[in-house]
This record gives sequence, structure tokens and C-alpha cells, in this order.
Amino acid sequence: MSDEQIITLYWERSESAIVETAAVYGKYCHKIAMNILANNEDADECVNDTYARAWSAIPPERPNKLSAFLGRITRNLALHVWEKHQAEKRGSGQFDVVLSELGELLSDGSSSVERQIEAASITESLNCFLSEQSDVSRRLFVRRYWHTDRLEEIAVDLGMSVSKAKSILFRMRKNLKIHLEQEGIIV
Amino acid sequence: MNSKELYEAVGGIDEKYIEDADVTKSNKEVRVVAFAPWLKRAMPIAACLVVMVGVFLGYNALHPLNQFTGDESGNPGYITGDSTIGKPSLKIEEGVNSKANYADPDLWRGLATEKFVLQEQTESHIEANRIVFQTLQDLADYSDAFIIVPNVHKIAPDGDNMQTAIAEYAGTIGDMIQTRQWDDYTISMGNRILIRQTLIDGCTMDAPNNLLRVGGVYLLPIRFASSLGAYEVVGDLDVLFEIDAEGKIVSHSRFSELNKYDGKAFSELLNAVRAIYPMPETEFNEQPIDSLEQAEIQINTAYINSGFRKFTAVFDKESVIKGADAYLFKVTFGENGNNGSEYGAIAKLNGAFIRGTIDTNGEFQTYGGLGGFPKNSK
Repeated sequence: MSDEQIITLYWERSESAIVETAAVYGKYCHKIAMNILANNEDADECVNDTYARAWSAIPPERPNKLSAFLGRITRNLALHVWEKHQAEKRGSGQFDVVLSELGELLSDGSSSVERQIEAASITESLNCFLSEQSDVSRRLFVRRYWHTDRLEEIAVDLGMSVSKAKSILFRMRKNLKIHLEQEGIIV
Repeated sequence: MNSKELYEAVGGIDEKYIEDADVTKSNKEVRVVAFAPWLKRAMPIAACLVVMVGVFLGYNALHPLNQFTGDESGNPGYITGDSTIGKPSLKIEEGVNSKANYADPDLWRGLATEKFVLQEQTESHIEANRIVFQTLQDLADYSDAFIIVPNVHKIAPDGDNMQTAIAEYAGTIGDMIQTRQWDDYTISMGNRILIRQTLIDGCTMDAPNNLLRVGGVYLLPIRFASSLGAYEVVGDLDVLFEIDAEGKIVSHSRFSELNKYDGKAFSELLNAVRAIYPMPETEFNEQPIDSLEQAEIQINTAYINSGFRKFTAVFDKESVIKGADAYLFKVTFGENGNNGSEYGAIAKLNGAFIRGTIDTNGEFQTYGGLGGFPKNSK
């Protein structure tokens, strides 16, 4: 079933919208949640919550791309669950590694000025940065830091070695740091 | 801004980039690629190993648990390269560490070690929110088991700042380690388990302050990590119990309840850990069961006597197995079944029980195990 057909079901308030969403995007969302939480039950719960959020949001929303719309919800929900878990125990493997990588390009402390930067402007800056990257580099970056996919998996999908993928990401992080500094987002 | 805030900001990027990246996604199972490439290449050999170790396990079943069950020939064997998993080296091959002395851990000798403190090695951003392991009880609460490791074999880097190692263990304290397969990979079997670890800052693969080193002697609290498809060492930012070249404990811990064992004999630490877990109060004897409560006692006794220390038994229903009235139960090991699970049945006639599994039709199928089914019930 196409995105348009599924979205139509949501607008008609047909409960089969959830069923069709699960059939088409259930695995996709589950993987995003698993990459962050590394726990099957928690991931299942996130995916179910994603359906509930989508049900509440559509209408009035009419997403252009359902995968990105649902994936974003799942990612946010999983991040929220992860935060709760962090208070209880050590992190969740893959996600900690991704955070650690991103932490490399940030300063140790964070000033109040930095904290006042609106998330939207950071995202805008990231979009600008990504638009300047090659297709391969951009896909690699998004797979790693949006989907939180494993490096080995991304390397296979993009037809490169793990070490090459790591090398590209390393350079991108360095460049991103410079980019964010130039934008005044990090100091 | 911290790394999580940046990660959140990445979440808001233009969806055209997400869609573009989605196209590159294959439908491969994540867990397949979660393993080291060298291990993937070893799959055919691992399949052969499964058969070989199956025979090995059969032997184990006939011998007391928590006893080293390695190579009988004395051949030290080897693990070579990235693509071959051979017979494990015994580490304790000659002289002081000969097999004759294997039963006494106080005679084991590890590698020369620096007395660094793990906490001082790390600069990780995730430290502030993690659990801190300050006592043996902390470690026991979070682990499936402690494994007594006289040797660590092949260590390979695995990307993402990870390392992969095969740990050979002489015994467990806590739950026993279940044979565990993941797709075509063997994660634990016989006396070996696969361990994957995130390297801590400042540690390299073969540096003296590495978490696990080939030839090292350790007591490792471990827990199965589904995200890694392997076991991980618990509390590795707070403690790493290893035996130095003099046979003395080095904890690498800043916590007094853990570093108080530094310089002492291995047995002192092992005894302290064993004291955490319940010991058998009674011998297991087959006896008639006339209530569910008695059945539960019988099952607990049987498992504890068999070397399990951290499990939960839940009774399902009454049934007739091989002509005898029996209670069916499910045992889960570790926290929430993290260390595996199995089914069993206990006969009302005399309290004997047998391990089994539930087939696709929901029927209990026996596969032998801890106890024998009553002979007169057939």
C-alpha cells in the first residue's frame, strides 16, 4: 500500500491505517528504536506508541514522506525512553557509541549561551552542512547519526569497507565542528 | 550543547536526506552484520565445531559441573587468524600452570599488569548517568554469572571501538552459561563464550591496560547483551579482577569493597563471590510430590544442586508426560530470562523431572537433562 493510501486511511479515521502502517513501516520503525534502545520489548513499545502518535497527528498532518514522519516520531520516543533508562543503568551499546562520536566534536563544557541556541537553528545549520556534502558522505552521515545504524551494516550497503566509512565519518565530524563553530553554534 | 542535544538536532534534518539514505538500506538482519567480519568468515568452520562440541557437551553432562572440561590430550591447541577457530589453547599448559594444578586457582599465573585504576582511564561522556558498581553484590545483581577465566583467546578489533574475545572459563558462579546460538553463530558453547567490549578511553588492543588480554586470568561478571550478540563484561569502568604474574588479584578499582582483594589469593575472591549466591540446603532426592509447593521446592533444589544460582521457575500447568502425571514449568535464567530459558516437567509420582522444550504445536518435548524421568512411568 502506498503512503498516499495509508494517509487517506488515517484521514478517514479507519483503524486499518494502523494495520497498514505496521505492515509497511513496522520493521523500519522497530529498527530505529532498537538501534537506540537495544531492547526488543522497549522497541516494540516505542513502535506501538509511534502508531498512536501518528493516529493523533494525522489529520491534521499530511506527511510528504511517511517513513521519515514515522521514523522521526520513533526516534524521539526511543530517545525519551533511553533517557529514562540512563538514570537506571549503563547505556545501550550502539547508541552510546554514536553519542560518543558526536561528543568528540563538542567542547567539554556547555555555556549558557550555547544552551540558548534554538534546536531549530542547529538543525538548519546541519541541513546546510549536509547540502554541501557528497551523496555518499551525506547518506553515510544520515545512516549513522539519524538511523543510528551500525557501521558494518552501512559499509556493506554503501559498498565500502568499515575503515573507509569510519574515515569518512571522522573527517565529516571534524568538518561539522568547524561548520558549527563558524555558525557560532559551538565555541 | 552536549552530544545528546546534537543527536536530537540531527533528528530534525530535512526529510529528503532521510528518504535518500533510506534507499541505501538493505533488508539484511541487523544481527547478522553485528558480528565481526572475521567471525562471519568462520561460519562454515563454526558449523563443524557445533557437531564436535556437541560430542564434547555429551561428555560434560556426565561429569560434575564447575569443573574444567578442556582438552584431555594435553595438546594446547590454538586459535588462529581471523578465519579459523581451532581447539582452544589451555593457557595452563606447562609448569606451574599445568593441568594437574588446574583445580587450584591459587596456583594460576596471569600476565604482568599495571596497577592502573579504571576510573582514571576514562573520559567518557556517558559516565555521569551510568550505574556505578561498587561492591560484589552490585556486580552480582546485574550479571548473569561470574565466570572464572584461566585464559582469553583471540582478540580482534571490531570497529566502533569494540573488541571481540573468546573467553575460556573453568567454572561459573551464578547461573551456568547456556549454549547459545545466534543465527549461524555460536555465542557460547562448552567452556567458551564470545565477549564483545567497548574499549575504554586510553586503552588499545594490546596495551597493558586493555580490558581483556590474550593469556590473561580473570574473574569476569558477565551478562548477555542482545545488542552485541555476545556477552559483555559488567562494571568494566569500575572493576576488572585479574590475576597478575605472581598469582595475586589486581582489581583496578577505586572502590574499597572491590580493591580490598588486591594482592590476595584468587580463592579469597572466589569464596566471597560464592557467598553471595545460595548454596544447596538439601541433596536432591526423588520423592513423591503431592502439592505444587513441594514441586517448586524440588525444582529449586534440583537446579541449585546442578550449579544454577540465579533463576526463576514458573509453573505452567498440570499434564501427563509419558504416562505420568506431572507439572510443567518454565525456568528463566538471569534477569528477565536474559541468560536463556528452558522448560521442564516434574512427576508427581516421585518428584523426578526432565528438561525439555515446547514444540511449535505447544506440546512439551523431552530432550533429557538434569533429572531422569521415573522408570515405572513409561
